[in-house]
Amino acid sequence: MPIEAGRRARALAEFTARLRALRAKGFSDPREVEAFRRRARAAKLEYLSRPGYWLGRLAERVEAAGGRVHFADDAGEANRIVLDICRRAGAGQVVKGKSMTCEEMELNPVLEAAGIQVSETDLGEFIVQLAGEPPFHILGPAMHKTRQEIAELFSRHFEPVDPEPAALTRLARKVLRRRFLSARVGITGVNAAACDTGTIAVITNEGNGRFCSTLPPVHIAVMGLEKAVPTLSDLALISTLLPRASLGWPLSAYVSWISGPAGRSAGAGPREFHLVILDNGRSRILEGPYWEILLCLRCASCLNHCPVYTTCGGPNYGWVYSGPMGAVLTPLLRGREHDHLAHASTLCGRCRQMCPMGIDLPGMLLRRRQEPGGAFKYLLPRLGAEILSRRGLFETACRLARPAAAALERLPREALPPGPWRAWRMGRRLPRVPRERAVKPEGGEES
Amino acid sequence: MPPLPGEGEEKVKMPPPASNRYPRPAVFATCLVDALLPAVGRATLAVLRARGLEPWLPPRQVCCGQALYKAGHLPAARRVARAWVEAFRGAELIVSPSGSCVAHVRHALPELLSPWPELARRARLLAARTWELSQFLHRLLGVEGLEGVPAPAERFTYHPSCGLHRALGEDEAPYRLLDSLPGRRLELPRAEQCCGFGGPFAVTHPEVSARLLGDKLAAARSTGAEVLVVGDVGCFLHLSCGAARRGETMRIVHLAQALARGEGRG
Repeated sequence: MPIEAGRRARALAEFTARLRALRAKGFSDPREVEAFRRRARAAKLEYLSRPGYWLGRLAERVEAAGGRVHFADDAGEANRIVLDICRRAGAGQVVKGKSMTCEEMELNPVLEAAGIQVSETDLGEFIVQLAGEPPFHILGPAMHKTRQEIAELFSRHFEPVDPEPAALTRLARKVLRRRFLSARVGITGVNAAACDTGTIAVITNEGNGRFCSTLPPVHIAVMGLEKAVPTLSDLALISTLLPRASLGWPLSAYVSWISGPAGRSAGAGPREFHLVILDNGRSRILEGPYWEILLCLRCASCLNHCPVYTTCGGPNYGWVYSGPMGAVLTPLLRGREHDHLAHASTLCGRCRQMCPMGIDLPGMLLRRRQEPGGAFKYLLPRLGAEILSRRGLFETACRLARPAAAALERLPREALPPGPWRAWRMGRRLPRVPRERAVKPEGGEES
Repeated sequence: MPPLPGEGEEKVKMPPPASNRYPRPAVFATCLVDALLPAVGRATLAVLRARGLEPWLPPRQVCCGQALYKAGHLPAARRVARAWVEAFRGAELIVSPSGSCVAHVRHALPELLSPWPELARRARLLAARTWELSQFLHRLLGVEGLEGVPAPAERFTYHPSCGLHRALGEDEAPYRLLDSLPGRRLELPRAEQCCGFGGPFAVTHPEVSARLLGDKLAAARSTGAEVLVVGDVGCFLHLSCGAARRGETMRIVHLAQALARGEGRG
């Protein structure tokens, strides 16, 4: 996997360090973490043990409150549902809160192809959308951009602006305010949903999610199948666990709980509320050995604490999800050609330690590595196993390795063909193989 | 330590018990020490002898298969696991200078051998009595301080390996022992960060691994330490090879060497 370099690497290191520091400050007492973890897991496990029942209740409650629920088997179906609603609402423009599920569906190109202007309203998403780039980090989509770059981008699209954070934010606000007020449809993600009351939680730090869900006459909330929990008190638990895990905060700046559209007596608020529930392979995942990934809250703890993610960055994981959770989820949702991601981990165990849901991410990466492969994957390791498990063969191999390693070390590094071995040697000196083994055949006492 | 049930008949290759109250520790050197790091093996024996024990190196011992397991090669890992259990047949106490290898023996071996119930049973017994060196000293023997052991350097720092400190959950033993030495142990910044070895990871992702290696060396250097102590043979070899390539002046010393005195430090 390639490494981030230069300024982007520094930005990545600083951003993740800031999030790690926040987490350490606000949510690091192991007993507290464990207590949250147990209750949150219990809630999710109850839901996942009978998702059909709970989703039925969720749908029933949402519809009783005047909302509509749509189940989508895959991304294509979900996109069609969203597009239909937008068309019926006569939307020429939609505003959107940050949603990883919509990124997964690749919703924006579908809407744009239908002539609908999509405006991302999370400041970071707004910036990467203008730049035509994918989000860099699930919490900080534009964390790799300098204020100079952002000022240049804004100046090109809107009006000249100084590269000062306050001025940039003011301009973004001016642009977005107009869009919030004129859009016919607002689209948000869903952080969690309570089945017993039909309530969804939309958690943001900028208030943009609340604008999207209250100003336009139609609100579409898109959620992955796994985001539901049984009860409203579980929703409270997740609403406070998520910001704790991400930022060490007991609550986010904006927590919206939404049950259906605005009431008839309300002076404002959306007249229509649609909840789109996306499966896209999730019920298949639930049946298989990687079901535990469905507990993921998308808090990004595993990204921020992963030595590989913090070195390589999000885009190198090849799809919208990155870090350890992405390395597990991407092959499940996108197919076996992403299996190599399982090897992009030192299995150091830090992600499991930091996960607010206690997901065994390294265990699942290890399991993925064990999936059957070709003859190369079979024969070479078997040969290695024979050498390692027979004392005589092992000693012979060491005797042969002694001159071989010395000769290889004398060979200039550039003489090796490009590939992993050359790359390995660029960073290390080969060890010297001593003449004698540490373990002596006569046994016991060392000479 | 009284023999565990069903263990008596297996003492086929056990040397006669020594006079002290602990069974003779069988040292699981690990394949890396066996092939490349004899000094770490000598240090481990020296540390145990200094406690009045009579360690021995089971002569037919082999690798535990951790690297094959982590690379995802289950049949190969099983093959090595079987050989390991055979090689340590009858051992009443096993001590190893490598946390990740001990973690593999304790956590993976019994499960790997589950197709062979008798081997799995023996693996469970062996796993329960396999200890990482510093854990063995501090947790089992109750050693609080090591007297007469010189400091690894006037100023040194310690990298807590993921194998010992996460997989085995240790948070005290090596610190307690190192802090009893003269010289000053300096806190390593971002100590919990992996050094980038990861077994097969170092081969599949050599650049990322080397970058993490460089970060770890830089963090150690930033403390002003002359010596970086590492307690896992994989991480130790990885950091040593990287330090040699970079012309690093700071020395990398294995935990067993830091805890040994006299000729054991070699």
